[in-house]
Amino acid sequence: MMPLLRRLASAAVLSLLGILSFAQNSVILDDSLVVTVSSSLKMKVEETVRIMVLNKDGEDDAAFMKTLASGWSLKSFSGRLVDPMGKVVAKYGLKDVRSTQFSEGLADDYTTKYLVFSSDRFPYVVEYSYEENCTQGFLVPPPFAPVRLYEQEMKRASYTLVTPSDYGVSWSSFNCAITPQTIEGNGCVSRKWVMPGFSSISDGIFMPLPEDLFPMVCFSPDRFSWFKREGSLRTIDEYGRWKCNLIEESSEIPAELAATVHAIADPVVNKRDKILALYGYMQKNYRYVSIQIGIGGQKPMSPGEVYRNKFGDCKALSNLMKCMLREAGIESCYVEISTSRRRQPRDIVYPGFMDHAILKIPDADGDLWVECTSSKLPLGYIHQGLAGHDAFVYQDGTMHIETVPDYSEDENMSAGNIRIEVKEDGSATIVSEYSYSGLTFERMFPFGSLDAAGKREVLRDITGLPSSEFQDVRYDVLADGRNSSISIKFSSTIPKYTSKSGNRELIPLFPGAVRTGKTAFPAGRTVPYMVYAGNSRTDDISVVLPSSMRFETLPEDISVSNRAGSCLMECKVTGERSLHIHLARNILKGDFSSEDYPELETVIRFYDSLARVKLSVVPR
Amino acid sequence: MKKYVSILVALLAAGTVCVHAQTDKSNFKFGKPSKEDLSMTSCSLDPDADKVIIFEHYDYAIETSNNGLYQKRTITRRIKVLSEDGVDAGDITIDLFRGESATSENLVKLEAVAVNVDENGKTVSTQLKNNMIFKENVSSSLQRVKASIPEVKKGTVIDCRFTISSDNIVNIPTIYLQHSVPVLFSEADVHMPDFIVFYVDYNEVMHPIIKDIAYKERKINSGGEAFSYSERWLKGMAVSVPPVKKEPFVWNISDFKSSMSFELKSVEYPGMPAQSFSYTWEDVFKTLNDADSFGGNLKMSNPLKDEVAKAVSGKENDRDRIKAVLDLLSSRVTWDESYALTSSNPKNALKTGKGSSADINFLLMAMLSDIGIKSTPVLLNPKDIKNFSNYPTLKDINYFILSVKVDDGGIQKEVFLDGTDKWSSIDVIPDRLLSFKAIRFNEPEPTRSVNLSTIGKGAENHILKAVINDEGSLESDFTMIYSGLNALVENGRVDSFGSEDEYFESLMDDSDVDCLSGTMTRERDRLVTNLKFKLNGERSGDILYLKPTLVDILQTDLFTADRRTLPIDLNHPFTISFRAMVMLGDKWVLEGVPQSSSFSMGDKEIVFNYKALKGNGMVQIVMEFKLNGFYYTVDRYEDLRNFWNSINNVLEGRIALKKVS
Repeated sequence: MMPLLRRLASAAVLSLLGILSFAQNSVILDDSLVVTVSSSLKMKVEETVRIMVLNKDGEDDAAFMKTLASGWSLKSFSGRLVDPMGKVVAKYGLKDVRSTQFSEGLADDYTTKYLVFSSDRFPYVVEYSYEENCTQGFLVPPPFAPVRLYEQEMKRASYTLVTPSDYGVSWSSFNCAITPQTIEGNGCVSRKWVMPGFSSISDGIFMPLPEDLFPMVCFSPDRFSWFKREGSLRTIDEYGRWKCNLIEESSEIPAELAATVHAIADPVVNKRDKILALYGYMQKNYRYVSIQIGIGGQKPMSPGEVYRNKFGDCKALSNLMKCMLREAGIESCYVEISTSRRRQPRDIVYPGFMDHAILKIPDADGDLWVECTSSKLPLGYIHQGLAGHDAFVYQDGTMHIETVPDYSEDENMSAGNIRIEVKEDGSATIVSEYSYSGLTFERMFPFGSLDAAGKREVLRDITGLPSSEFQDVRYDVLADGRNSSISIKFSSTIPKYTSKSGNRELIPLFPGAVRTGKTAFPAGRTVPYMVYAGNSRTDDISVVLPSSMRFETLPEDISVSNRAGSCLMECKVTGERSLHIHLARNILKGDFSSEDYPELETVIRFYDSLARVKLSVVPR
Repeated sequence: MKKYVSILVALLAAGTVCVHAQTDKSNFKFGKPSKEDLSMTSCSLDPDADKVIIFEHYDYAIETSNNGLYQKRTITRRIKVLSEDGVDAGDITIDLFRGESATSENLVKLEAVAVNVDENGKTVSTQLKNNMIFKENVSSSLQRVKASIPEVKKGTVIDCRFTISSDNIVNIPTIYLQHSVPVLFSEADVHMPDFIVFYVDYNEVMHPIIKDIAYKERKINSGGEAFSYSERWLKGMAVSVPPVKKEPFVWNISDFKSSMSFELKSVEYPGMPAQSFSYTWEDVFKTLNDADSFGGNLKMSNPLKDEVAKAVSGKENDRDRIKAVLDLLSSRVTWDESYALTSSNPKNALKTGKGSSADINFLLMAMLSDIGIKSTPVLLNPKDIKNFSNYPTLKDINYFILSVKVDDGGIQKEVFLDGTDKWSSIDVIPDRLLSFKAIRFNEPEPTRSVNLSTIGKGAENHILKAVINDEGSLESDFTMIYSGLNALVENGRVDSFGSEDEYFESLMDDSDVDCLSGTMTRERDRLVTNLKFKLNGERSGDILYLKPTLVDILQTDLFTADRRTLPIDLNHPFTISFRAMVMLGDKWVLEGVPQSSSFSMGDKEIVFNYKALKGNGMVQIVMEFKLNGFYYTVDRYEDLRNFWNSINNVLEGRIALKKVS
């Protein structure tokens, strides 16, 4: 807690700068980026940033961090930290910038340069300028996206791109309708985009994707050079040809592997079964290891090398599968996709967002989109990093963009079937079966790999019964592509299931229902909301009482339905001592306005309130 | 050696090993696993294990060469991949320290091989290739070597061996004979000349180590002169070692792994005077006293002389003056979250506004000294780093706090201070510093050692007043008073939120509650929050159900795991007292309350009381929870679990109110 006087002083400084909101972490006062392209090999990037850090959470926003690929170097850096009174507290030079080659995979050729500016007296201003040079070619430079985080405001930002007059570029802007001012002269063309100010957006749940919120400009060069491989991003066909050539160069399959493929696939008649058999062979014998070095950042490792190593990255494994399928007479397409970004620019060819490779296998029974890096996922299961994402599909020497199929609310399904048998002593035996499909399958799929303690934790989470023991735990995976599902069955004995209040016993009905909690719905939301993965949940619960008890009151049938979804509870007496309750909730997917947000809150709160329902029973 | 083998045989006979013919040093051949190794499918030490270390050997040696002494470490491992999840055993990571050339470590050799059985039952070996070995400069002091072994899949046996050398003979890394995966056989051979003397600390908390020692005559040529010396050969061996896995309420899991750690005691070159490193606590004190970065700082003058004088002006007693100094220090320097025992210049922290624990506590010491309050360092190791070694050593001391004698009603009382947390106070220091063993600097026996775990206490007093309205909502006024260590912890939690409002929302993170407003007053050892909110309860027809404490006060899901392997450290003793008064008005009558309950664990190590009383148009609720004992050995886990289950049973009950029709 800042002392009152310091808070007032800080507020005074902020108000002078016209920044009165405390609901943000940092303010980009100015960000100016100049990219000068000399040729398809050489590029210079100069950026000057002034950013005000308002609190501890804003410290990272102001950190300098540049990841340099092979052929790039940081030529200069200067920075300073200015305190609230305008006094320069610290100055930094190139020697202060730290460097790491840390990578999460086996190897890459990236180096990260970074510097964290830190002070505990807020607000403070960080100013820095740097120059980085590329001398050995590039595919696309990173996009200009000055605002990358929630709780961050931007006052001014500009992007200048200078190219030789005969060097064609295409560009696109996102979430800001701006066009560049163009100046020609001295054999160069200079284009400058000036971004309008951007107000801070508070983070929350069901937020729209950053790609739909934050302003960004990116460009694609007509001519590029990537590790001495010349190419063009002028048209989708030209880039497709370049990439297909790279892939084709890595398509020779070693004789031993070819023999293995035939041994596996030839005895199988059905096409889908052949694919399944080869996919199983790959999952069993090859593991994912990330290697991104040189041209290998774009070009898959050859099947021969993958075969020898029995490991490879996403490109290598996808290409291996493609080559094995081809050997078996089945055509497939190499696919690039972004696991974080759903939409790709359509007005320019921009491969800069792609971070993953998969395979598409066209099939009359429905195309298969195949993740090749998992040793366990069922063939054709479309996981969250793929579902609904635009993908670059390389086929017949060219490329086109397709959107990977997504799941509907009804496909993202979790269903529970629970029988609660209450005993005289307040204990209960509960027999449960839960099944999960669509994206909820992905969430529960690791259950099979967990050790006994891990499984127990998951079951306790599912049931909401932290102290219970579980018996007869079984799980079954139905491997059926995107329709794959998992069912988990178990029984549990709860020594003290009911709670007493006077002569009443209270029986919890849905202890496992997930409650959203209060903080999820702050009042006055102004940002639209987005449900990325709409979903359905049903619970069918049978309750059986001991002969000495009777139901005192029964829950009423209630329901709510609106633009955000629906929720209902129905109760049916099935016998003198038994009843059945059906609970269903459906959250619709899609983009919604902030005005619709209270409707979402209504559905979720309604469900939360049902989660607390307890049956009241009394002695007979 | 005979004894060594006989112990192993005895252990095998005792049936404690995995159902597997033992691979040990005598029958281990690199790249040649046995049939049993290849056919193994699971490990009885951990049926869920995705891999198992079949054999592990550490060969550490301090060798002599013409250039002097150097350290050589060769580590050999055989790992069996039991499931697809265990294939990461094929990815090798070796961290090398990079520094001055004398202290840098070099990877001399790395070899690995994957052995599989093909479909014809034939053994196929695949070597690690040099082009799959990569180096990363992670930082100026850390180089990471990474490699991926080909042909690793479920069923593979991996043999890996690497050798590291360094001219640094002072720091010998700890040898862990126990890991997060089961180990069938692990052995360490440590060879060192007898003129270099190390303390060896065997950690056998979780699993026994079979120890042995032998001597061997060696000869070397040094500077054209030949001399002989005796080599000490230390052995440690562990068989059928179960995995140690993460569990809650454990500060540092490595404290429990079976291990051998080393501390250089002295170097006694033939014909030269012995050079002693740490031997007794007096030696440790002398080393520190002689160091400018420690002893020099003890004499440091107060760099904030005028400001301290102003801060303590008008403060009558020692406690108020100390708090005023802590306030001033916190306003000038914040902790950079690094642990340090020494500092080259603590005053630099005043310039940058940030400093290590040593910077801050040296400054605190100088500031206190300036107002006539003498303080003494207390050496310790934070609980998240490592337990204190069993011998006097500088290596394991990473921190110091201050011991101060204050006037407490005419009696001089020792209290402890630490300046790193801005909410710390007198005897209110972060849990991580409440070490079981700390050493008063320059203090002779028998008062040298101090158990800091006993100084910390905390308390919470919660008072809730509510009036139930006609619709069945409770209009509530809730005051929570935290003191002592609970205030320190809760103040830190408040800081972890972006704003006080976010903190209040987190307190009422429950769909039953609509928070109306909140206020708070914060001090060093006290936090008072007041919340006004509407509590909705659970309705069923005309019955309204309320939780026994209306809102959640105690965390009830602390001990849900079926079994426990590590001791439970609940940090510090504390009490929670909750009182509530609900005015029923004329629309609601009380139908039932949970039964009054009172129970305790052990000799009142934990006490729980709950009472709900019908009053004059009101319900009064009293709940008390006292945690007197905070450290429990594994054998007490079942008691703890049962105790918490009993609390849960009470808190699962409901207060029932019926609407008057």
